[in-house]
Amino acid sequence: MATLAEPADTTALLRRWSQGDAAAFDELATRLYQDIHAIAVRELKHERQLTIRPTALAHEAYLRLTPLREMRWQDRAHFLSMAVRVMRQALVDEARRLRADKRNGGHAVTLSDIHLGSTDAGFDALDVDALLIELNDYDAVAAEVTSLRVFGGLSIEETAEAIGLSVATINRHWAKGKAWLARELTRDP
Amino acid sequence: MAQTSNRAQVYRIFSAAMDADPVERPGLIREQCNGDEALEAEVFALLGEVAQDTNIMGLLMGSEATSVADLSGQEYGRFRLQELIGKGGMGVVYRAVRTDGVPQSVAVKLLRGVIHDSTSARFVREARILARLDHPAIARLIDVGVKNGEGWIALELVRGSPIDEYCDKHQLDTWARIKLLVMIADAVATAHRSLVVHRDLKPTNVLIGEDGRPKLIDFGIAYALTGADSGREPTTEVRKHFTPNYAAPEQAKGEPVTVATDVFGLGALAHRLLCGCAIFPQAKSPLNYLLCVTQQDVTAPSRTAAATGVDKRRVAELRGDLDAVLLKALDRDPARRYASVTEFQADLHRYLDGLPVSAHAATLGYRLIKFVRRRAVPVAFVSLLLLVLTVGGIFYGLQARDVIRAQNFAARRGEFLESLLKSADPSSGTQTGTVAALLDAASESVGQKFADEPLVQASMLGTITRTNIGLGRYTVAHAANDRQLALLRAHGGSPFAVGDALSLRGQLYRGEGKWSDSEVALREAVALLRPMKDPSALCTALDNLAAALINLNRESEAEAVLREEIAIAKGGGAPLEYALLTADNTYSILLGNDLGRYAESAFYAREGWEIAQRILPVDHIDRLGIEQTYAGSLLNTHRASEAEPIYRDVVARRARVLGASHHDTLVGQMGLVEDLIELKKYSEAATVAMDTEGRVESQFGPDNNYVLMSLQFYGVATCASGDAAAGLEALQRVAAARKRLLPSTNRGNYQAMNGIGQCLIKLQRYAEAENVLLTSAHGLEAIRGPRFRPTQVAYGALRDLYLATNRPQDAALWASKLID
Repeated sequence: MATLAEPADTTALLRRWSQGDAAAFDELATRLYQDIHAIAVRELKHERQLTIRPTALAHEAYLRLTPLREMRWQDRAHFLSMAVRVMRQALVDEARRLRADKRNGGHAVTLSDIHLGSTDAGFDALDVDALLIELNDYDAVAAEVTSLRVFGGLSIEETAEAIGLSVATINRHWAKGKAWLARELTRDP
Repeated sequence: MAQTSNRAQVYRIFSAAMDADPVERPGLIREQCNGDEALEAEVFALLGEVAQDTNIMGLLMGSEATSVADLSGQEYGRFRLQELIGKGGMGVVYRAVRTDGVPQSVAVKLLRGVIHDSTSARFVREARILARLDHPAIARLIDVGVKNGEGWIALELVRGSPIDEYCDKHQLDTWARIKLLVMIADAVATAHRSLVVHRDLKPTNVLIGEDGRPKLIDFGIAYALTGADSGREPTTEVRKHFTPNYAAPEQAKGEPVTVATDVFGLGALAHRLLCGCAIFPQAKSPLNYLLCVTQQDVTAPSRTAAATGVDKRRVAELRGDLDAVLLKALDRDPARRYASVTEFQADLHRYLDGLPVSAHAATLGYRLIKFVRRRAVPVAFVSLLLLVLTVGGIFYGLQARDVIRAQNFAARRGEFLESLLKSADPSSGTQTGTVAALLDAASESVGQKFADEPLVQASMLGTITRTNIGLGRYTVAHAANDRQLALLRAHGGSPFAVGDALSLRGQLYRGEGKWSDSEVALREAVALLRPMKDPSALCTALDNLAAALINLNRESEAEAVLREEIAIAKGGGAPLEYALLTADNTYSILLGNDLGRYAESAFYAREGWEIAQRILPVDHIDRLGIEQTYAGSLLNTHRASEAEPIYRDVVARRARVLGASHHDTLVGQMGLVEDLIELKKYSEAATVAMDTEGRVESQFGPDNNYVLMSLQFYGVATCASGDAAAGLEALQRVAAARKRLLPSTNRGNYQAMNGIGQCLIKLQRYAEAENVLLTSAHGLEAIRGPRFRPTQVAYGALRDLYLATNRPQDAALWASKLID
């Protein structure tokens, strides 16, 4: 895991960023991307079925951001949204790469955390990503809420904090996004 | 719904409906769809998903998938799954029954996460180490295996309810709850001494049975799994698995798990039971918990309890000592927690006994200023504390001096054990996480870590030696033991320490069957330990010495040693009852098996049996051992019919606990066969003997003594039941093998000859029979005396022979030698 950023670096960057250094934010995002991508690659390499649990991924990623607690909440919310976006991108990139990889038979990456009622199969990360991109055209807030929940593993409360809306509002958007995903992902081919 | 424009429209109408009052939704949808039935159907389908509350991420944070394929009816090893009884963090649990006819229900846990072929053998090996855990409050591990790349584990089936439910349902008071915690701590501490960490202490893993006693399930399973996974990164499932509300900070961070992790887990469990809530009640999601536990200190339990509306009396009970105890167990820094579960347990005990708890001192050590400011602490107490602090930063100021020393030592040991487990860090590259590797790493690092404390180092090496012996790793155990002894001798180790080290060495040689070397080491150990005031250590050495002497065929010396051991153990009262029962067992076997003094043998067997019934759990390995010895003594004293049910029971329990093919189970079966022959139940005897023979041979090869013994019993039983030719053939095979393997004067050879002689009589080949039987009768008489049971068998056979050949005078001569 030598490629991953040292937590100390992250701390310093977070401090610089909270002091208004915009370049630090970009640097943080880049580092985070590398981190998460490395984690994703590592996980997928060892999972026979190429399944991934975004929850686990999220836990690990957040743990690399230990100063999160100490940040001002506005910074924190901002940062969480950024982190989830980065996480989703890293995961999707890796999924795309694996699908294209002829040697391993072009496997799909499955998100095993996504659990849709009676259907128990995991869902293809790329499908979920595409559906959220489409949803973004119709309803940007619902898409963002769903992304934070699905790819970031955030709770309703955390999502509310990250987006800056009330819990009740987040619940409503989440219900919409969830229904959208459920309907599309379980639709008979 | 093929076109994107249409999809957008569906979502727009759906979204508008969602924003409207639920009652108005159908009307709104119909209006907006304007008669387009397909569109309407799609929107309603989406709405249906909401109504169904399809739980996309319902289990996202922490919990696991809910529905699983029903595997009832499938077989795992010798178990058939019957019914799904639970789902846990690491997999599903089924109630299962044995497929081999033994009536036993077990819990079979199917572990998620793939185990690769290359690691499955290690997984099984590691998990079997867990089977050594023997404590009444730990659900026993019965078997493990790998099927289709998934590990499974068969555990004792425990019927009971989770401890939190139980306590709340029965409205147990603080006192009763702490008593339960003490019992649990005892079990966890026992496991730690076997280098097993539970890692997942939480209410659902502590069940309270109908007898009101706790039983821990899932012991160390995660550990066995990570052990199995080493060599590559552990699977996501296992490594990242942590239980919100109970996981320690280091666990949440994915750092190595140590004994301190269980201290924390136990603390969190205590918090739940005593305060009625989790340590961070504000943490609503696992992520939140993770952030809390890694970045915040736990608030004083009394304050948390007060804030969550627990009644005032309980809050008052928590304030003070219990606050201090729980906070010490729940410290974020593993190094500041109790160094061991035993220390935690001791403080709970002290609390129950109304004594000052040690946690206060430590808490004050770290938080002196805060503490004094926050509370009205008696002035005298504070000044005493300051004195202690200035004296050198030792925080155990409230204890007597020798207790301080003991605790310091225990703390260092605890830290060492911790570092030992720490070296299992899978990210450290080359390390493999097996217990064996841990021990080797420890063995390497102990030299540097305790470089200026050679005697502490020696003590650690002793622990390493002992554990290696337990694992059957004699070569490395020897190396550690050599270093231990060299250190003790070079740095003036106490006679006791040297004696103890030599005793270990003797035990090592015993394991390797090097009886002469064993004797030398143990003689020296006994000489050093005899003047000491630790009779238990002396008894252990004497017992091993007796075993060596028995195997060197020096029975009378062995007898003297055992008599000394029994005398010491008898003088030691309750603490030495276990030593006494061990000595009784060995002595009874010596008297019955080797010396033919059956009445005495029966006396000691009975004495040991009575102790075992009183002090050992029902399936304890030593209790089963003495029960078999007791049955053997009954058989030897013509009470075969009384012995029969005991043999059957011992065999059934061993098969259940250890498995049908376990060495001990097979030894029990052989006893049963001998008993059945005595009771003239020949056909059953032959069947059981054949089963035993097959199982032993497949494990230990055709020349194993137990193979030959069971074949011999088979021959005798078959011959007696009428098929003399088949019996003779089996017995001749035994004799031929023994001739090849043993000196001709061995009693096994003579016993085979006894059987051959009996078969020959049946076949009316009298001349051959006479020849064989005279040889065995004289031979057995010479090596074991006339009263030895096999000798008596030879006499009886000769009497029968002469009666059959019409030589009454000779018959009378041999008959007169028979005891009955």
